Formats: sequence, structure tokens, C-alpha cells
Amino acid sequence: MGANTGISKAAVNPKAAGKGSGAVFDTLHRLVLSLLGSYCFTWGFVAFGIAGLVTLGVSFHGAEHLMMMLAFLLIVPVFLWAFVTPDLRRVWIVLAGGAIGMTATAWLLQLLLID
Amino acid sequence: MQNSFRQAMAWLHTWYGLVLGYVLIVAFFFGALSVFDREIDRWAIPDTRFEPQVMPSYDGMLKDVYERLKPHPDDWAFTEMRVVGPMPDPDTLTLTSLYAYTTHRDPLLQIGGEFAIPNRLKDSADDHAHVHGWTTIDPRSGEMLPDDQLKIGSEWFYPMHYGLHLGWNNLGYWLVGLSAFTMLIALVTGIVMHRKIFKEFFTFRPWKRTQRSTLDLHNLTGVVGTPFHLFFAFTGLIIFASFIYFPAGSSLLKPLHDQGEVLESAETGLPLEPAGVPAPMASVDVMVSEAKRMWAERDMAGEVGLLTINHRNDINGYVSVYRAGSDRVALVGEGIHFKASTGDLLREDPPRSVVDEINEFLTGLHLQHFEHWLLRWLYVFGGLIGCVCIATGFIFFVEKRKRKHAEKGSQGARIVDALAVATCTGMVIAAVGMLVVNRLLPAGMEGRGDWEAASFWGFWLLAFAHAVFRSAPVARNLLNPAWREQCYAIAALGVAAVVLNWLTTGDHLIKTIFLETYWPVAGVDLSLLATSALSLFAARKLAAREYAQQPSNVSFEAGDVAHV
Repeated sequence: MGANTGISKAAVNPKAAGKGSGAVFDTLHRLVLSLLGSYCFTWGFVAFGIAGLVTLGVSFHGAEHLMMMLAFLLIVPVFLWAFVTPDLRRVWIVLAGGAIGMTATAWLLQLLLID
Repeated sequence: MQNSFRQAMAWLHTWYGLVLGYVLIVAFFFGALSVFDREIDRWAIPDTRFEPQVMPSYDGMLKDVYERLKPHPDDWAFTEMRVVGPMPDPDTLTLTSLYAYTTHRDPLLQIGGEFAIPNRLKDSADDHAHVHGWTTIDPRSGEMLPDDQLKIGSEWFYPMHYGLHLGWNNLGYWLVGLSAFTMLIALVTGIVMHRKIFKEFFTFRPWKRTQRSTLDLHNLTGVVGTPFHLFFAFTGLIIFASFIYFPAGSSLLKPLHDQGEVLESAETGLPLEPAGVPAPMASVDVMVSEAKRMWAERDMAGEVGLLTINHRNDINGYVSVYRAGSDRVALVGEGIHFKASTGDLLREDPPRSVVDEINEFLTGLHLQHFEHWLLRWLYVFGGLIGCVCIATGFIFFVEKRKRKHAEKGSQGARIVDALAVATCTGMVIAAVGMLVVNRLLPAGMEGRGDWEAASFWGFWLLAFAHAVFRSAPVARNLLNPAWREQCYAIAALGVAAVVLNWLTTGDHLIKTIFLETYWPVAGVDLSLLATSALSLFAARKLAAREYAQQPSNVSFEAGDVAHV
């Protein structure tokens, strides 16, 4: 984490930013985004990884086993990164963009691989 | 690493841990019980209290048993929803594939199979039109066990561990998965929060006030258990990943998956589909003997753990014989496959790839089917240490806030505490209470298993209601007496279960330890008595603390409060 990338006190403690509903919304937004976003991102990673490995000649089940192990090694740091990054737009772009990009690539690779 | 990052980690640890800790502690506790699920089964079904058996003869026994196997009513109802038109008469269906599974701890044999049905599937993406049947048999006689005899260990406590018995849309799997993910987060955030990990390993000061000593114990159990908890949360997620959490192979990448299966089938020589040409079966016993001979040749002597037959009575049919996983971490393996109609060897499974080795090691270490009793007990203690870590997390949360909440008139700490009582002692009451009911219900009673399951939820609901009803003192910065009362309830129920086991089966501890040693039942009885003793000790400690908090004894409390 860089020197100024820490989450603000208000984001994790609505009381620190007053009792406004905006702070509560920010916290919920961050929590839901980091949870669902990291899940979708990892989903895309798994699909992309399986399709990519099959493209490289690995058997489907071999690729699937490897990606399932890597999935849970990835989702934890992605979740934590999403939770502590102050700029939520950046989190949205990385997680949604990554999820959509990797899922779409997996789908395209599949189109190429299916006889 | 600046303070705000550490603060974010602390926030996650506290709130994520609190909300999902209630599920996580259930997964840990019933996971610990599941380590001895087969032994609890023996305790709950006295007719099955005999020694583990090896896989029986297929030709001499199992063949006839499979002829009697029928589709299971549960799967029949589920399949009816998946297909178009009415299902045929179950007695006319043909068994197309089958399995038989046992371990070194099983006196009984689990069998099952798939029956082909002619109906069209409603969902074209759905796989083959099959209805499943399964049952448990006594491998000495081939007799099927009545379906309403609930195996409390393997059919109730074990599924509770990973699915909470919440089948709707796999809700239980998702909740447990989310809580396992929370465990990973809690461990990582806990490590970030606590800089003095090594010191905390050696720090426990029970003489300090509750908030401090609870945090000590929370940190100590968290540090001691970190490798165990990390590993089990991680591997638990992996076990269900491909079909629950990231089912890419059955959704987005299904075409690729299906193509991969065809390629694998061509490579292994094991037909993926039946040919539609009937063929008789050769002797399966001869194939099993041949498999054992081949394992022995490779210095891997052992018993059969899993026997499967695919495309039964078809020219494409094949028999697979897998070695039981008693002597290694992977569950079953070294599969040897024979052509069913001739008994010719089709294939020996080659050594696994590195990825598959790692995958099977991880899942095998979680599911622990190997024969190692000391390690099995360490699993139990690891699971219980996890429970202590989560429970002390709850108590620390309450202790840290309840005085402030009492001053402000807030009910927050009271609610958290009531839920903690209902979860921590409530689930133990539910589990032990279920065993008591198991011994009280008449042996041949219809729907016995349903009553046992209902009693489990009933006990838990009662514990919850009691915890809420007795929670008012927490709002005044005092202890909830429900903790103590439920500890007494556990102590009483534990002793009652042991006594009832003796009265209803004649299996008292002197008999099961010394006269006719039978450790599965003796072990459950001893564990129940140990639970009772520990609960009694906890209840007396809690009583002393409540006594000290009474206004007439406030001098002790005043000294205690001075530390706050």
C-alpha cells in the first residue's frame, strides 16, 4: 500500500464522518463492492484461466483444479485491496472491467476451441 | 503501513468476524464433530455397533442387493420437476450405473446408482435424464437399513458443517463459504492488527478482568490455530469451488468442459456413453482380485474403497476399482478399470499430475479418510480451538462495549451477547439434546429420523429464546445468566445421554472400554462426559462471577471496574 492509499477513517467508521446517511451509504457501497466485485473479478479470472490453460494444451479438469486453488489465493488480496482503496471509481473500473474483460476473453477462447 | 490501513483491517476483523462468526462457529463445531461422524453413527444406531467391514463380494452379494435398489423418493421428487411428462413406474427402471463406498471406519456399506428414464429434460443444458437411488446396507448380510434411521454423525452433523441443512438454492453452502472466506479475511486482518504475534502466543492472563483475559485467549487461540484455520478455510472452499462457488465448467464453459470430457474419454479408453448394445457382466470379483494383485505388485496392498460400474449391462460397460485411502492423504485412488463384459483390463490410472497431486492432497487432508487416530483427535482440538477463538471474539466484543451501552441505554451489546449464547452453548445443547432424544424415541418408531432432526432445531430454538429472555442484565453491564444456565443444561444433557445409552442398549462404559471393547461408543460416551464436566466447571465459574457482580458483593466488582 502506498503512503496515501489508506482508507479514510470516515469510510470504515460512519461516526467519524458524522451521523449522515451518506457515510453509512459509503461504507455499505464499499463493503458490497469489495465483496461482490472481488467475487466477480475472481470468477472472470477462473474462467479466463481455465480457457487459457486449455488453449495451452492442459486438460479441462487439470486447468479447473489449478484455477480453483488459485481463485482463493487471489480473492483475499483483491477483496482487501478493494476495501482499503480510497478511490471507489478505481475499484469499480478494475473489478468490473477485469471481470467483464476476463469473462469475455474466456468466452471468445472457448469459441475458438470448440470444434 | 499507515494507521488508516490498520484501522480498516480492524474494522473488517471486528464487523465481518462478528456477523459471519455466528455461522463460522457452527461450521467449526460441527466440523469437529464430523471428524468422528461414523463413531457418532454407531452410538445413534445401536444395531450397527460392530466392527468395520471390507468391501463384500459383488458376485455373491452386492449383485442381488442392487437388484433390490429402488430410486430414492427424494431424488424421484426432484427429478419429476426436471423432466417433461409423467415418470414411468419405478419398478420398471433399469440401473445403468452404480457405486459402493466404504472406509476403514465403516461397518456399513453405502451403495447407490443411476436409473435411466425415458423422459425428455426441461432444460436442454441439463445433463442425462437419470433418477438416483441410494441406501446403506449391512455388508455381512446384504440387508438394507431402514431409511428413517438417521445417521446423526454422517447425515446430520456432517452436512450441518458444510451446508447448515439449508438446501434452498444451496443457501447453506453459500453461507458457510462466505464464513470460510471471512475466516481467511479475519486471519489476515488479525495478523495485520496484531504486531506482537509471537508474544501473544505466550500471553494468557485469566486473572485479569474479563475483557483483557478474553482478548488474551482470543489472540492465543487465533495464533495457535492460524495454520490449521487457514488451511481448513482454504481447502473447505476448494472442495466446493468447481460446482458451487465458481461453476464455470457447468455454466459459461460447459461446451469446453463437455469437449474436454470427450477428449479425456478417448484418451483413457473409458467410454463416455453406452453403445445401446446389451452385454452380460463378467465376474466382478475376479476383476477386484486382479486389481488387488496389481496394487500388491506395486507394494500398495490395501482394500477396495470404491467400486463403480458404468453403463451396466451394455457392451461399453466398465468396472472401476479404487483403493481405499487408509494409508495416505488422498481419498481413494490407483483406479484400475476393466471391461465389464469380458473382465479385460482397460486402463490403470497413471500417476497424477502435479496439480492433481496438490489438489487431492489438500482436499484429502481436509476430509481425512486416512487411518491416523492421533491426527484425527488433533483435528477435533483444532476445530474446538477455532470455536474458542470465535466465542472469545464475541465475548470481547460485548465486554468492550457493554458498559458504554449500559450508560447510553443501548441494546447493542445485549443483542450480540444473546446471539452469542444462542450460538455457542445453544448449538451444543442442540447436538447433545438430539442424542438424548435419539435414545428416548422407540426403536421402531415411524419417522424417527424426522423427530430427531426436529428435536435438534427445537432444542436450538429453545436455547435462543432462553438466551434472549434472560439477556436483560447485559444492558445493565452485568453477565447474562443464560450462559451459566445453558452450561448446566449441557452438563445435565451430556450425563443423561450416557445414562440413557446404558439403559437402552446395555452398553455402559465398563463394558465398552474393558469387557467388550468398542471404542466408537466408548469414545462418544467419554466425550459427552468430558463435555458435561467442562460445562459444569464453566457454570460454577460463571456463578462465582455473577455472585461477585451482585450489589451486596460490589467491593470485588469495584476493584475489577477500576481497570476499565
